[in-house]
Order: sequence, then C-alpha cells, then structure tokens
Amino acid sequence: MNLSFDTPWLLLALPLALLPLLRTPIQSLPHPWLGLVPEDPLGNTLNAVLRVAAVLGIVALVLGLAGLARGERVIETVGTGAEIVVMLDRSRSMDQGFGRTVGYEQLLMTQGETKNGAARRVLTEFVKGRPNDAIGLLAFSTRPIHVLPLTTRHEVVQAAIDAAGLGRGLAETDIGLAMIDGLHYFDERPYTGSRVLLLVSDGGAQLDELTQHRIVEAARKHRVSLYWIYLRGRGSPGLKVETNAESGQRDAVPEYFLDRFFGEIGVPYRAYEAEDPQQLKAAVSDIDRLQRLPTRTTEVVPRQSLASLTFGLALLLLLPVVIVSALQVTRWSRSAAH
Amino acid sequence: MSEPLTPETRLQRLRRLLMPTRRAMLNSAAILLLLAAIRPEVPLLRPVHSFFFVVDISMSMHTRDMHVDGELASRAAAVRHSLTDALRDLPCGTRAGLGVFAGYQTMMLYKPVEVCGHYNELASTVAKISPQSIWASDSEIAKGVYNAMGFLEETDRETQLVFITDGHEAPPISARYRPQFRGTPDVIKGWLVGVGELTLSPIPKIDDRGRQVGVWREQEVAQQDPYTTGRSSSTGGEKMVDVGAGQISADVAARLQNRPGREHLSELRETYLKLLAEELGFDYARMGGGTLLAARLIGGKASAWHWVPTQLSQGLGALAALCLLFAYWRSNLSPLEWTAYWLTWPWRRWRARVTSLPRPS
Repeated sequence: MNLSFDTPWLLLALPLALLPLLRTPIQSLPHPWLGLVPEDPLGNTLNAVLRVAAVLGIVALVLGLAGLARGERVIETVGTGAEIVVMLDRSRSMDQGFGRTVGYEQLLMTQGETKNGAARRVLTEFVKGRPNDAIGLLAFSTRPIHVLPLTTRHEVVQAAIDAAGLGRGLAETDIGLAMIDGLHYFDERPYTGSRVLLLVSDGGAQLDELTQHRIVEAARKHRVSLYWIYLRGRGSPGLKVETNAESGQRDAVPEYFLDRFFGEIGVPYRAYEAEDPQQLKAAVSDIDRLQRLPTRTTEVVPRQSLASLTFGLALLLLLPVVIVSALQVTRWSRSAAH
Repeated sequence: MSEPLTPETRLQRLRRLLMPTRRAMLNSAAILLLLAAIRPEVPLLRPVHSFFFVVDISMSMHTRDMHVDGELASRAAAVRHSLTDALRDLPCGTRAGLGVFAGYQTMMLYKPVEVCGHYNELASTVAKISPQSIWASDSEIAKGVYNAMGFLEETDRETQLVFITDGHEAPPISARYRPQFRGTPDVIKGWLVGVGELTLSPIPKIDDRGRQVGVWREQEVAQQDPYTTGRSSSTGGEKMVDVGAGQISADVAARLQNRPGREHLSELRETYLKLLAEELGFDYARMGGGTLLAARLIGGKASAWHWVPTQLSQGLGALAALCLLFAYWRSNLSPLEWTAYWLTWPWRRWRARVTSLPRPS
C-alpha cells in the first residue's frame, strides 16, 4: 500500500501531538492543600491512558489534515455480464447515405441519415440494452484505433459513440487488421463464457490467406462469438445471397465473401441488417443466450482519500478526554467535597 | 436558594456563557471531527476545467529525442507517459476527452468525461495511442487544430483544446497559402503543447509490424511546400497561378520554420507553434512532466464555474484542531483573548526581564 499526502507541509504540525503530555484540557480546581488529597491509583492510570490516547489522536488528526491518501492501485473486479468488443467502421464510406433508395431519391441527391449516424443510433440502442456488460471499443479505418478498453462504465462508451459523429470519415477500410486487433482484446483474460466481437460496418472485405488464418486461429482460441451489424448503403447488395448464384461469383462481392468466411470459422456467428429494428432487438437478446461465467477485470483505482479513517480514528482516540471532561467537577459542590 | 441577581452578576454570567470553556472547546472538536469523518459533500461554486486532449500521432512523433525515466524514448512514448501522469493529477471534477491527429484530420476518441471516475479508461486509452494507427501519412497540423476547434465549437464550447504536437508540418506550408481557420475566432480557448527537442533528429521509418526499417531520407520527403514546388510537368517546377495570394510578411515566413533540404529531419518547431498560438489566442506550453502539465492547465483560465460537490473534511478537521489547541493551551480565555495573549507574549516577556534585572546599586 503506497500512501501519499495532499499537503505534506502540514505534517510540520505533528509536534502538536506532544501537547497532551504537557497539559490536560481539564480545568483544575484550587484546593487548599494537596496533602489532603488522597493517593488515587485509578486516577493516575486514567490520566496516563488519557494522555497517550490524546497524543495518538492528535497524530491521526494531523495526518488527516495533511490529506493522507492511498495511492493508485490495481484491483480485480468480478462481474457477471458478457464481454463485448465493438468494432466501429470510421472510413469515408460511412459518411454516405444509409438504407435502400428508390430511384428518384438518388436523382434528388437528398442526404438522409448517414451510415455513420445509423451506426451510432444502433450502437446507442445496443449499449442501453446491455447495461451489465463490459464493452470495449475499437474504431478502424486504414488501421485499427484503440478507443476504449473493456469497461462497464457505459457513460464513457456513450461519449465515444457520440464522438464518432464528429468530423468526416478517415480513409479506407481494412477489416482484416481490425479483426486481429479486436481479438487481441481477449488476450490474457480468463475465459468468461460470453465473448462477443461485434463488427459494425458498411462493407465486406477480401482477406488474404495469412490474415484469414490469423483470424480463424484467434477466434477459435478465444472462443469468441461473432456478430456483424451490416449497414447497407445505397445501391450495395444485401447479405442475402441468391442461392442460384455460383460460389465464385458470390465471393467476388466482399460482403458475401466476409459473410461466408465468418460462417466457416467454426464459432457462433450471426449477421444482422441495421435497417431492421427487429433484427437489432434480436442481436441484443441473442447475447443473453450465451453461456455466462463471472467475468474478472483488473481495474486501476485512482488515489483514495483516507479522511474518514484518519478523522474517525482521531475522534475515537480523543473521545476519552471529551468524556472525562464532560464528567469533570467544575466547582467544589457539596457532593464532590465528600 | 435564589438570591436576586445584581447587574454585576448578570454581566458575569453572560461573560461566562460567551467565554468558551475547555469543555465547550473539546465538545466542539469532537463534533467537528465526527463531521469530518462522515465526509460531507457540500455544493460550492468553483471553477471547473474541461479539456479535449488531442495527440499528434503523425510519423514525426516516432522521433526518438525525448527521455522517459532517463531512457531515450520516442515523442509518442513521452506524450503517453506525461499525459497519463497529467490525467492522474487533474483534480476530481475536471473533465477530459481524448483525440488523435494525423493527415489533416483530428479524430475524437471520446467526448470529455470526469477524470477520477474514468481514470482507468483514460489511462488505458492513452497507453494505446501510437503513430502505428495513423490513417494518412501527412501531418497538416494547423488544419488538425482548426478541425478540433470546429468540433468543440459545434458541440461543447466550454471545453478547452489541448493540442500536443511537435509542430512539424508535412508537407511544409507556404507562407502565402497558409490554412485558414474558418470558424468563429476567440470562441474556443486552448493550449498548444510542444513536444520534442529543439535540435534536428532523424525520423525513424516504422513498418506495419512496428519494426524500424531505417530512417526517412531526403528524397523521400517533400522538402518544399506544394505551391513552391509547383505541379509536375515535363519541364518541371512549373509554378501555380498566383490568384488571391495573401500578403507574405517576412516575419511570418521565418516563423514557419520551414527547412527546405532538411525536412526529413525533425525538431520541435516552437517558434511556429507560438505563432499559431498567438493567432488563435491560445496559450503555449512545452510539455514537461505530467504533474507540471496538469498544474499549468489547471492554473489557466477556468472553463466554467459550476456548483461542485466539495469535500469539507479538511476544513472541518482544521477547525477541530484549532478547538483542541484552545482546549489544551490556555483554556480559560476566549479565542480572541488567547490570540492577544500569545501575540503580546514577547512584550510581556521582555518587560518581565527588564523588571527582574538586578538594579545597579
């Protein structure tokens, strides 16, 4: 345990702790002749105890004044929710319009909701629906950008989702690199039963052999469920593959390719189209079906003030003096004279 | 037995009531200590700071001319180190958001959140900020700053921008065609924080996997601004048409710190950053340790005044200590008399010595 002080110079007041050895805060009464006062062993012991307690009490008080605090430390917290890593596409194409269009709308060039806007709306709903889960966030464009570690503080997750709406999209999309980085979130974390990698993207990707291999290996090793929320842009194909299309032709379309690749990894995989609110509700509740083990997360706890401890201790140690003072005799009354 | 009270005794009784006894002092100390231990929070009107930290992650931030714990480190590593410390040292109630800059764009990672409650997340995010995640290889810093100011103007004008950069524009900018801030001037307040050394160092070339593969060479880097270089043509170096060109002041041109021929080397362009800061009404600071940075930021203008729940333990504890002092020291005096007694103590002491001196016979 590392301790520190907010205002260390106040420790200069520590010699005040010697005060009780020099004086008592109990009023003395004049008595004609001390020789008349009988020896009082109980009183003497009480006196010594009071003084020592008061010394310690003042020490505690000064420590409190100097702002004794426990330094930052790492603790392990145990939760029960799922661990969800959200991978949010921040590429240029996300600035384009969302949803299917009828022919004339394209001519009018009306800009409705962008795909980015739709993604933020969907994610906000999603996060609200999963209040107990640890959520991490990875943005990606040409390269993955680590935004948030797995955290149960959803206020900051929401702050990150809101921030994604500022400015224009960044550049290209590389889903392969992002997948590998997203799976790294589960490195060296104890297995919890419910791990989800949630991809929010408007397009698929062709992945080279090496990347495919690395994704498959990591996904199987970490036993991660894959969820893909697909934001269909104007004029882009859906994920529903017509069965009569030849497999070679299908793979030429990145969306079809990625969909098939995810399905063949050998881990649970679901794709949802963001247009359909029902599908989104399903995405939120599907996670409930996953096996659930307690999650362990390490957390850095910032400095904590120990004011309660120091001032409480000071009170406790000074209380005897206060009580004795309350019981003291302030003048020689008839009853006390006996 | 009740005697009729004479005016004198009434006055004496009043004095006795008003004069705090040792017992009263002790009781007050106990009550104050109890309150301090409970740690009551009372809303007080206090200055509150909110910062949006943007870290330049362009390639020049790989340059190893900084020191972390005595070891040579890249600028990016130094920023991670200092920023983590600064976030830890910002007082609770301060808000901090994070962003990164590359190309000509600032990307906001998240909007400002309270620093103490989210220290874990902030520290973890900062630890992962790296020039490895750039999405463009340029480094148009002025545009990045304007971009970030635009975000704040749009969403949160109370937040101050803290832009941490080495000031190395790539490609170099022309004094005539400098990027212009298109928002409303003087709405957003902020800081430019310089990182790097004032001497030139080579910029390491880092591959996708984070390994260094040599350094950037003279031919690989744009040595002059695109306007001076002109467009590529068969004859080469054809100048662009000079329409609507601004006035060049020799002073400004010098302060841009362009170094044709040595653009592949990097230094902290402090003069340029100070120029930018002057133009925007920002403050400039060199990034030292995190504690220093936090102190400077907090010492600056407050973002806003808010009612903030404030811990009163320290103040209550101090009052308790004062009461104890009265109780122990000279308790039959009122605090006022007590102070007067001790203030005049040297004088009394001196008089006593004078009177007790043996008289010369």
